[in-house]
Amino acid sequence: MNADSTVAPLATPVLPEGVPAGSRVELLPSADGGSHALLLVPAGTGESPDVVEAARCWVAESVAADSRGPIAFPVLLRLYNVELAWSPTRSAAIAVEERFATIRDAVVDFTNLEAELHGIETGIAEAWPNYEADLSFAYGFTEATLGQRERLLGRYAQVMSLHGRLARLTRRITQPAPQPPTLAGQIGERLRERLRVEERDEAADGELEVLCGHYDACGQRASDYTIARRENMLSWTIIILLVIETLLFAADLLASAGT
Amino acid sequence: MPQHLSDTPWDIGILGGGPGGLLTARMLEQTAAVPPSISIIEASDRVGGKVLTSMFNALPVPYEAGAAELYDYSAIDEDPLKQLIADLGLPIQPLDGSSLIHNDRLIGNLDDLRASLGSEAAAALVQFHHRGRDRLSPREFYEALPVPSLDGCEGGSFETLLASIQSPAARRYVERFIHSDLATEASRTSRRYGLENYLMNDPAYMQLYCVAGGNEQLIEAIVSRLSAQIERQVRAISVGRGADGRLTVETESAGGRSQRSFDAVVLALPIEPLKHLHFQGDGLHTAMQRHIAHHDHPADYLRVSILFDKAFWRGRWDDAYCMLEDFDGCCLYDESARDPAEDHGVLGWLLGGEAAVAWSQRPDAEIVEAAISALPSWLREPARHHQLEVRVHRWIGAVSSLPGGWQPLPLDRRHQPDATDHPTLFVVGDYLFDSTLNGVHDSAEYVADWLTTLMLDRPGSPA
Amino acid sequence: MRHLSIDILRTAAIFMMVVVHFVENLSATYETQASGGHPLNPWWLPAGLAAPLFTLLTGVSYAIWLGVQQRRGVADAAISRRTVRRGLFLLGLGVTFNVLVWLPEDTFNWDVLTLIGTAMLMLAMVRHVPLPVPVGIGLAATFVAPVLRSIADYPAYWQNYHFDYDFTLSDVTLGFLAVGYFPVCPWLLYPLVGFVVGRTVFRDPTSSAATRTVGSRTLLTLGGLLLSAAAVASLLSLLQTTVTSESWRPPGWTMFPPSPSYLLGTLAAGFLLLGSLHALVDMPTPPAASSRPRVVLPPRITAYFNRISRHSLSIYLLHHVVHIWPLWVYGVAMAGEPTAHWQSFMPAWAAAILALAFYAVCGPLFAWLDERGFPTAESVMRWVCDEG
Repeated sequence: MNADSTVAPLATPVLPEGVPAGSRVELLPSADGGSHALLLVPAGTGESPDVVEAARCWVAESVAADSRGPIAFPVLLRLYNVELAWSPTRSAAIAVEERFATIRDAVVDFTNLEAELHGIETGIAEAWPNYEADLSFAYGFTEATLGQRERLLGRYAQVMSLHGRLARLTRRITQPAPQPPTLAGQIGERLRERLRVEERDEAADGELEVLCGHYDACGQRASDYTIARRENMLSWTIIILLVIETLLFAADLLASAGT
Repeated sequence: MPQHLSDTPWDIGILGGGPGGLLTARMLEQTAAVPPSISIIEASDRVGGKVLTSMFNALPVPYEAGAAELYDYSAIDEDPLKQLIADLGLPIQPLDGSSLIHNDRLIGNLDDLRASLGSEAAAALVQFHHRGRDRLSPREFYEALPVPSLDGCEGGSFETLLASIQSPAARRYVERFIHSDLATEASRTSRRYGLENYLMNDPAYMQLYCVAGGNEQLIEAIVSRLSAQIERQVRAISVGRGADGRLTVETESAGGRSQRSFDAVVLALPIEPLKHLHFQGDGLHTAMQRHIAHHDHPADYLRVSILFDKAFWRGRWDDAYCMLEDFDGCCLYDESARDPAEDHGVLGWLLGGEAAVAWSQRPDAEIVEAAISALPSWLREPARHHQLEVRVHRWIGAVSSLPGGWQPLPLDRRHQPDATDHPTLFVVGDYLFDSTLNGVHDSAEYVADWLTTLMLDRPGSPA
Repeated sequence: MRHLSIDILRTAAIFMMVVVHFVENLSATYETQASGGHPLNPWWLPAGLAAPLFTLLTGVSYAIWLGVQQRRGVADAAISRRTVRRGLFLLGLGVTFNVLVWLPEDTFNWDVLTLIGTAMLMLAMVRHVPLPVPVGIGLAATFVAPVLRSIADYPAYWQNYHFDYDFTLSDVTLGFLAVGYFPVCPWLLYPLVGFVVGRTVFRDPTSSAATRTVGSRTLLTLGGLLLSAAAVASLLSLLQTTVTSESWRPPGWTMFPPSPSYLLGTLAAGFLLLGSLHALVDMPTPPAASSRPRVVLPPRITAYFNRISRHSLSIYLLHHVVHIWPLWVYGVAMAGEPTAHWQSFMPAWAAAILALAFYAVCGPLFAWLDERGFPTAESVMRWVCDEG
């Protein structure tokens, strides 16, 4: 999503039942090429529990089981005069109309951030089986395994790319919320807290440290082995030349002794 | 001459069983090469001072009758108090809340403020906040580094700083927001102290927490690990120096008067009890009077705690605390937020300054009614309906409105009023730093380190 | 594990060797005595191809055997031990064979068995080093060979179209190095190149059809290049200049000593044949439905090639005993000299028929021996060399 989110109301908005008139669904493009649906419900003088429940159920419809492990969706926030339900693909907000733009921006920003983090976590999860399979290469290479270098290089590039993405993301995660607090800042802070973004960031960083360290070691071993191999071949070349020289001298000697 | 294990341990008397006295005793026991013999003399029947967690009668529910929150500086640098709490194995619970209720509406952020008070007020608040951050950085705040533009009385009180806010609505908002933290009026405190109490609402400077289950657990944990002798209901009458050069403390208890000698005495008392202590000798008397005069800036608190049979405000208001505009600005705590599993609810009101003084003179029932009336309309009737039990605690003059005085003294002079004739007489107190438990921890640590060094240099005198 | 392409090629090499040896030992000078005893070389005789194929396949088979041992988890020291023992066994067998089958004066002929034994000892040393090293050693042996032959005066040892030497240290050593039947320079090239081929093309027993295709294409490409080079070498040698001596660059295709065109041409033939067969008949182990060979031979045929290939050493020893010993006995009996009728006993066609008859018997004979568990040269070698 862009910071100045492009807002495209659905041609045929599918509003949940029970929401008041004036509610609308906005389809916001997300960074991964998909879309995030945001239900905006204008708040009255006091929110009917039915309206809140209707909004919550509408968000819950989109939630795939176990899409974030132990975190249950939708995540429900009650901020000052704002009710917000969030899931990775849908969210719903009940607030006064004047707050819609702020809420939209905050949801866009956080959804992008969380999606990026989730993408990195998925990449890490996919890398772990490869890590187990490649453990021996961090210890040493042999002639038979030298052909694995290209594959290891690809995996190294993959985990380093993840690490780079995470490093860029960490800056956004650890950026302090604006003070005095704004609604957007509070929404972002609360969602980050509920989705345990900082802990997940730290855990992902720890995992990537291990993976990058491992493939770095593999690269180091491959490089060491290649250099040693080259030196070995050079040594053998010298040995062969010396042996040839010895053979020629020996042949000459023997031929002279024979005659 | 370095102290050896065979040397006679020091005899140390600590007057005051509040956090200052207890922390000093703990640190001395932990850091001294030869553990001193410590006596803590406390006039009341309990230790802990302003840290008081009480229990309702109607239900076995605790509430904070004294210090309700602790300050967390760990985002900037080390926080020894928080570390101590963690070392003692006490659970920590963060406290969150940044709202003020204005005209029945929760102003929880800049957007709410803009909607309620207008764009001009919002802009003025932002400007004041940013200027405040420019004036006092988190590091300067944490280390109490001197800031010439803020320190001293020449530049005026905190009121002059508030006058720089162009928008009356924003100025009023700030005044109400920090009034209960200041515990005094803006005109009676320094610009620095006032600005510190405003900036501490910024997470970059500080965050709040409490000990889950009651802050007094901290006192209990410290006491349980002390070897010191704690004498309750023993009132210190006078302090002087005996013919043998040791410090003497005259005390009064149910058993009559007695005189004790110590190698060192630590006065861990608030200013008010210090005023009533007699100091023998002109030199000591003058030094203590000077000390008291420099630090005598009393501030006042009045605490109201009400037990309800249910936390009826949940769903409308879910923070750990917020500010009310009544009483010139008072803090409303949801103490039951610390224990969300329970059905009951506990609300606490913390009045400060002139409002606290004025209302403290009224009957409890009037105070309680005024407190409930201060609630927004959507909470008033339920509050009256669900009320179970009320408690009122008066802390008049219990804190300082200008800790450290208008011009803070160097640390050694703060803690050693009479360095020449009474080099082993020390003072510990939150009023020397920032009127908080963190401040009293720093004060106790300073004196304990000093005494530990002295004890290394020479052994104690035989009793 | 066995590859059908290698079995087929080895069987072909054995066949050629049997026919060539029978014809050469029984008939080489029979019909050409009038022409001064020049060696026989009828157009149908596949002279010169058997030994290079055999020694090339020795290297390939060793590489495959090495892979099997490593996959089974055999300790590296044990692998080295077995390799060295096998090398020494073959060396000793070669010397003993010369004494018993040929004659004591042929003890140090440096025939193909001693070459293969020496190659095994060399492979024991170079199996750990990067693959370019054994290739380098082989090439070094090839390039130094003509120099050594020149120093040693190769023609002096081959006056009568066979290797004649004195029982002196110098002659024996020079024979081993450069002037014998199969001296290490340049014949070491074949087993070392075969080892590299085995390590690269035949490394993975589970290889897919795509991988086999790549290996085959590589071999065919290299084979084509070598053939081209052989053709160029032949052309150059035919153009002979006066600067080079006969021992440096013999004209055309000669096995003794091996000319450049011979070396390149036989290597090319080995690569082309191996590459083609690998693509056509080899399949992965275990067999996979997606990796069927292009040509599927009946199991009886496959088993035949397998049997002959597995008993190549025994067949080598036996075929010599079968046609040489009777020749010696007849010579002693008729002329008082064992070599009296050597190379002049019968016409070439008769010798060839005898060779075919012997070859035809080999299959059933070794099937019968295998059935009854009788020891063969291979089983004795394994028993002596592979324990521990």
